[in-house]
Amino acid sequence: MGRFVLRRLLASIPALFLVSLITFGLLWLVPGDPASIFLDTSATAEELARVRRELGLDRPFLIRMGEWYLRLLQGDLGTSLLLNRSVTSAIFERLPVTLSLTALAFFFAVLIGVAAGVVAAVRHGKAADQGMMTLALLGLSIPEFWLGLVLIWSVAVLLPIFPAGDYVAFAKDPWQWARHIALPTFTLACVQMGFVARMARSSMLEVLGQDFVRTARAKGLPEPYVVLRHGLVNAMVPIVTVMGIMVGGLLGGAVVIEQVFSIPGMGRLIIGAVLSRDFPVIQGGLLFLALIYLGVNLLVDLLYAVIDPRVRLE
Amino acid sequence: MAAASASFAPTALPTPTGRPSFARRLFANRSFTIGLLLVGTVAVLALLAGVIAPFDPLKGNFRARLVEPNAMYWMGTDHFGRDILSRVLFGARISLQIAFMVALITALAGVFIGATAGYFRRLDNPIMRVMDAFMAFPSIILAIAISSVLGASVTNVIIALSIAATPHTARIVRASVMVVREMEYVEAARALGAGHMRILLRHVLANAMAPLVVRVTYVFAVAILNEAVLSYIGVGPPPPAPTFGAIIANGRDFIIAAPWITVAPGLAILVSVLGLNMLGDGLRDVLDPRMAVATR
Amino acid sequence: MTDAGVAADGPMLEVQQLTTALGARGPEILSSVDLTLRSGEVLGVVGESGSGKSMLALSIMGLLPHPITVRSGRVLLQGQDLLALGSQQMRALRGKDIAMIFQEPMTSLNPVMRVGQQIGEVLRWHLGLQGEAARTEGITLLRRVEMPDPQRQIDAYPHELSGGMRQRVMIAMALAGRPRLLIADEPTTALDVTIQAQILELVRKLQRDSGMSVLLITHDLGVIAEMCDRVAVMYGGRVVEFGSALDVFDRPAHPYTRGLLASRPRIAAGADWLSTIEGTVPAVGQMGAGCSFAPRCALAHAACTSVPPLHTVEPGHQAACFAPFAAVASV
Repeated sequence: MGRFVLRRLLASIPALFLVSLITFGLLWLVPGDPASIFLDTSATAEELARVRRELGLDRPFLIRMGEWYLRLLQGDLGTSLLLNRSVTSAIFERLPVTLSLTALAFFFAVLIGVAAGVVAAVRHGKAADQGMMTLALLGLSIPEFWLGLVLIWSVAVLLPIFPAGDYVAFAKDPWQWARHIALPTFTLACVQMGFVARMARSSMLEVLGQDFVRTARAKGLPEPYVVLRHGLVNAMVPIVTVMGIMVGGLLGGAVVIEQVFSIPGMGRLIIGAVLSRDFPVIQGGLLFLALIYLGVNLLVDLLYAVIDPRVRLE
Repeated sequence: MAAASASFAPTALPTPTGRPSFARRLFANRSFTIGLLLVGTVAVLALLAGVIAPFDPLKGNFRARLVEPNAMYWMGTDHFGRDILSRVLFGARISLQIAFMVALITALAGVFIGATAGYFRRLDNPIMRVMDAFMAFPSIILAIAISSVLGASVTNVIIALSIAATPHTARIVRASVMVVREMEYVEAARALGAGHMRILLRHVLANAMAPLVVRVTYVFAVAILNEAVLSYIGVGPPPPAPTFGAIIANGRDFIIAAPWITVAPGLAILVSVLGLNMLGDGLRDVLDPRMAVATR
Repeated sequence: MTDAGVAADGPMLEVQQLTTALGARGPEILSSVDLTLRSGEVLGVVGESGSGKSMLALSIMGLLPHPITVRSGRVLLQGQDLLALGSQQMRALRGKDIAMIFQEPMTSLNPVMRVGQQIGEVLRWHLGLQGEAARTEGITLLRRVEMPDPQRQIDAYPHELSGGMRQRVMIAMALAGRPRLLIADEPTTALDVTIQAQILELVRKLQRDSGMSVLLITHDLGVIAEMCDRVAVMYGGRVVEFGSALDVFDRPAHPYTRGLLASRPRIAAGADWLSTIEGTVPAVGQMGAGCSFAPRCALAHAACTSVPPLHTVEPGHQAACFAPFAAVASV
């Protein structure tokens, strides 16, 4: 198993290289001069030169790329043009907020999604199945940010059960933290729940039709036990795949939801940077999120090996 | 003992009718037809926006600001006095146009890249590694970053969304191509001297059509959603374009006073995307039920 | 072949007029099937694919897949009607009093669960054994089914075992509950020929040692000859012949049985042509009225428009034909 982990880690190195290359290459895509795009038209020649130096535009391409990688390996993602501080420190300051939101949403999406999918599969063709799948379809067709706004309007304004935005740190006041994070979490989880439920259902249907499930029933084992221990466990591999992909959707969604609910997380940082053309922050944030996503997919691969012993042989 | 078997022919076997035609099966699928209806309605309304919109979506009537939906303004007005219904209609047109272009470009690029990777073994690894690297970015964030770097315009939005959607499409095409490449009739064609390009086009791509069509339908749906996000954030097509996201963004500040500004375009997005998803599901069920297990 | 002693207590299994079909109004899959399995005996059910023999097994176990249901008839396990039992009661019997082994040991075992745990499930749910006791009993069972190195193999995953070993695991799982009746659905069909012989040998030995009754389903006449005391021949969802293996092989009464026996290739005979039965088995729902074999039968005549009942043609031997034992002029 240890060897498997090592092999997977080594296999992700080329991906890491390419990902950072793409992020680096973003600056190169800018039509025109990044410095004058960042500053407005009233900027002096002096200011322009300073910014160009900061962005490294005064040095040849290859040297710039070398510097980029060198700094990356030291964990330095550059300096924010706008905030005039290290990108890395800005990210780390806001990371816990985003991670907690994403993790909570992940947890709920998986829990409810898988449960719904299993129930739908067991009650295949009946009302429960149709109902749940319709809800799932609605869930994944809805724009997240719009759902957030609608919920704010209905649940925070019309009947004020939840606050309409902002964030309270867990350490400061757990109850308020929970109140403030409830709506954003639900909104974020809603869409992804739909994906998980559908995949869980189809995977379960396939597994429940297999021979070994028939054998388990032939042994006189109770049906709930058969569905869970024999059915769900074997259905997990495609479900785990979806879970990995889902994290990507959650990270992306978190960025938008933070905007809607005014939550001071990485998402707001990146969007602020996007609107003000603060390129180092855009690059740094993008790279960081990609790293998180890659890390999650690595975990997913490891999870396969835990669930299905046949995978360890590969 | 005479063999009187003739009198015992089994009750006449039904002559094989074959399966009902593809089109019939398609329209018998409930998901497909409802989806088609929804999308069709939205598309028709969007196309006819210029004709049926009661007001100019960009011109505001300052004496009719923040009017609740009534007989004259079916969906109310916004803070500039612009008719929401007209804006939504034109918004549908823009959004559908953008999403359509994204779907088209993604399909072409995905087929080109995926077929190349799947068919030419030596190119497979490098190409797919690059695709994987792009897929390492959550797609909406990649689209936001590219769009912001390129600058706000319809073209750039299309480019950004296409880049975000192509890698997964290429992967799907590659998978189909690899399956067919191994099949014997392709080997036979090769043995008969058919060139690479000919084999690729006739046999290989025909097999890849089904998953590709389903995937493109979903790409279309996601493009509508993502374009709305881009517009909402502010990196979409520049104002005064009345895209769905822009209308919702405008309405955000007035959500208490005038919730209709927010509700209408959101519902429009929901209906369009829902319709497309149902269309995709229906297509998938008819084209290849086995794909129902695969991820989108 | 073992002695087919008639048990002092009644028959182990009696299937009476069992009819199963596709849903409430669909075509029949099994039609008025009658057979009796005596206690301690091995009864073979032979037929081609499509004859309904697997459905028979699933009907007895109460494991018919969804749209297929029992329309009428009784299945008596030592007098108790299984079809009248509630699902909880039936579940209590499955794996304990009645056990079943299936054709494909690879797909019939849970791929992500150790073999020992799969056997342990039966021990836990039916016999209440836990932990160490269950493991010890599991190893004992593996030893009984002649699994090499049982101490190690009990922790193996199915994909780590060969086909023969997996089938041994299936048999061990089936025996774990000390069943009175074992149903074996084509247990050796998916195995290599040499392994087939070993497994059959094993089953026979286990049957002799424990005295359990075995319903052996197969399409292979050789297996019947090796293993079975009595045999039921099925065709088109009905039993067309029933009797001791000796009688049926020596003096086949039904034309289908005769056709089956005649179609075995004989190495020494030096014939140019393999004898075959013309035509194919009709699909479900496409059987005409009357004897289901009639369309392919060289002896069919006017009476065959009605279904021939299974009747005694000589002591201990039944056939569903209006002209049993009739000779056919050779082609």
